[in-house]
Amino acid sequence: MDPVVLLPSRERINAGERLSQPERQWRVHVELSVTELKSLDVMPWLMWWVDNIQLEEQRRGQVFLILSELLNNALDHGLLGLDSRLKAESGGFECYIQIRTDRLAALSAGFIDIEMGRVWQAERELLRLGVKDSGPGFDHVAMSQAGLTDNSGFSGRGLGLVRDLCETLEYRGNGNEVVALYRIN
Amino acid sequence: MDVKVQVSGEKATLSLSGRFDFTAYKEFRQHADRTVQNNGVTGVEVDLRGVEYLDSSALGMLLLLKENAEKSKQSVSLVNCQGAVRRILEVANFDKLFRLS
Repeated sequence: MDPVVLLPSRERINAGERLSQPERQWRVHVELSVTELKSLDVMPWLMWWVDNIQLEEQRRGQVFLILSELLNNALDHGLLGLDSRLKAESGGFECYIQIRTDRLAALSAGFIDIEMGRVWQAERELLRLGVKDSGPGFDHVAMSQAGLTDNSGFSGRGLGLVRDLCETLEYRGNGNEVVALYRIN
Repeated sequence: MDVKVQVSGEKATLSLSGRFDFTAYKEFRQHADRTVQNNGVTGVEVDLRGVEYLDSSALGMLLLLKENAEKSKQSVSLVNCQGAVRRILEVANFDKLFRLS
């Protein structure tokens, strides 16, 4: 299935222009099938959209981190069933990468849906980032907790960072869907 | 991501440029290992000026470098941390783990 991208309507994407609340905001919806997940370098593609809303450099970097964390979690844990605690073991990182490479090559079904858009909430301008995968859901709570106790910092640290950077981070469904709200203004 | 290594006396500088994320692992690991195994080096500097974006795996890689460097009695510092990169390192409390400048 080809990825579907809904282009924004005639309204201009201009971060400097304050659009009043009831008006429709831009939104991008991307569906990645197994084909794209195996071969496409997704992050630069998504960042192209983010770059076009002209955020300042610091915010762009933070959005990259949030998006890549949620996307990597969806792929690694949601679809490939990898356990990030493996990274903490000695030589674990390499092992993790090898297993990840093998499992990704063997992946035959699945998808990741990504949605990005601007929303307004009580005078705050936010970027809404949603990632949903077709997997069975993963235990994000356990993963976050592992990050708190694991001194090597390889597992769980990413989500903790995402929580620190976002206004809200909400898991839905059976843990295979996550929505982050990041403040732009 | 591109990694350039420069050794001057006892100091080694790893200059990174581009996207410091999961895809950078092999490149980073290769140069980091070589630097750590260099017995003449006592201080390792990671220059992040050219890093456009970093994600949590980059943080993991820096921690790995620190761990290995300390085994070789080398110190690790992160230099030229600016903008988004600096902010992320601070939020991740890396200013408590590394000397940042």
